[in-house]
Amino acid sequence: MYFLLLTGLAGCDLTEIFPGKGTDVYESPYGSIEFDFAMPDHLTIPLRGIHRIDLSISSTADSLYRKEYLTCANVSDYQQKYSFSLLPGRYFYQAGITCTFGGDTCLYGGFPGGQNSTWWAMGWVDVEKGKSFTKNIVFQ
Amino acid sequence: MKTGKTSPCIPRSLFCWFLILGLQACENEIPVNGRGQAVPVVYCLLNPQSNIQYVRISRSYTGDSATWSRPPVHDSMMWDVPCSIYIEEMVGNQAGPFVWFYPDTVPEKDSGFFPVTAHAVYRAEFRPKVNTRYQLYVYFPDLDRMVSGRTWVHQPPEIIDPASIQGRTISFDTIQPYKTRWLPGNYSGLYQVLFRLHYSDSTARNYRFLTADFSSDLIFDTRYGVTLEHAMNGSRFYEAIARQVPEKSGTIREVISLEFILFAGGTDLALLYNTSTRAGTSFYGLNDFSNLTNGVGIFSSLTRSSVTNLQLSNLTLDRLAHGSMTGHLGFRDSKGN
Repeated sequence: MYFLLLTGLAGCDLTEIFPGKGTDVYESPYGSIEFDFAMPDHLTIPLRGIHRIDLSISSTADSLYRKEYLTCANVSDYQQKYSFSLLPGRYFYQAGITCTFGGDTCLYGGFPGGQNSTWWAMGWVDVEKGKSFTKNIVFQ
Repeated sequence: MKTGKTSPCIPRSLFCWFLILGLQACENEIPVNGRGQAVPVVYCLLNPQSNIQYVRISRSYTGDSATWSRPPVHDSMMWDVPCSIYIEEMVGNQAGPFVWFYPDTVPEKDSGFFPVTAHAVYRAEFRPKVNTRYQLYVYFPDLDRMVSGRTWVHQPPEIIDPASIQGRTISFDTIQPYKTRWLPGNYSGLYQVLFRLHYSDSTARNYRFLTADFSSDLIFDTRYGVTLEHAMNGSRFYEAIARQVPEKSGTIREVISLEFILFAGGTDLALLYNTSTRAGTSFYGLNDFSNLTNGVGIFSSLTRSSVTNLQLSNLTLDRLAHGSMTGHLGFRDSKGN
């Protein structure tokens, strides 16, 4: 019995474990941005006919124009805040809402193209490593 | 010295004699391989969106979950015993109008490696009302047996997301999942979310319209009055497409649109699913759930709601065309290349 135990223990490959200094914490290279995609509050028509349709991000302003996006959100009328994790740098965004009321209600409400036209808001944000901040989207 | 008692030997021998005679008369053969009694299996999922309803009848000798590991042979599931089927609409606790089911041969039977051609299918022409209780009766006159069950027909859910709004697109991102949302109707409890990609497949000789599906597992949730959500992992979308669309050289594929389908099942169907997935975890044999008396199976309701003409985002189209999982399938990107 003792002989078997000794034989078994001798077979163990003991490896020394170095505990380290306790400072090896993973640092994410990303920063975070949250867009507060609120509907405009100065509209004169009910919000049930206004819908979010787009929130896209590009690395340059002209790539935004060419629809070459880095990422985009699946926007919903039931969600107001959208988050992205991005590498540090400057990013350009566009947010769009549309109006689906019939007749000339959309024109009256401030949508220059009338029904199914899009009202855009654009801008840029700076993302910093390890930091998180909120950007309010404003429709002028 | 003799006493006045009679000798006990005479009644004892008489008793033994009767015992032998009695034991010889006993039937001591026990039939080990006895003939089992068939159990009717009844499936009926009412569809309040259709004017035609079906009931499927088969039989089983197994009502025990332990035997699922060795399913019965095909012959044992056939049943050509005549039966009468009718359904009653319940008005409060009283039986209301009723409808008869008649044998039907229109629906295609299962095909494949083990085709099942002998299931009896019955049909009736009526449209069930939502939020209404129905009682099903299946009577086997030869067996003098009546299978019956009750269920509430659920209200189809109202889909919130995705919504078909001009300009809004759907993006299947590998990082952020796509969140579907719906308002459940009363008496619902089981859901399945499905995205169907409609695409064209063109070669120099022909042009075809095809589809590929990206579906979720079954979702058990009996709540109503609140918005339900289910997140679909974007990377699994590309896996599903790569699995279903075959690689063909010289073929050009173009995405036409995306369709969202939400299947919803009634509470009884949800309980059947939930107990079968939890079999063995709590109480043994819970997967034998059935809301039918005198038989097994299920009597519940099933609906299909959809949103058509959805559009994929440019990012998703480009990833479909050039991504590592689907880049070899020949899909055009957002610029038509």
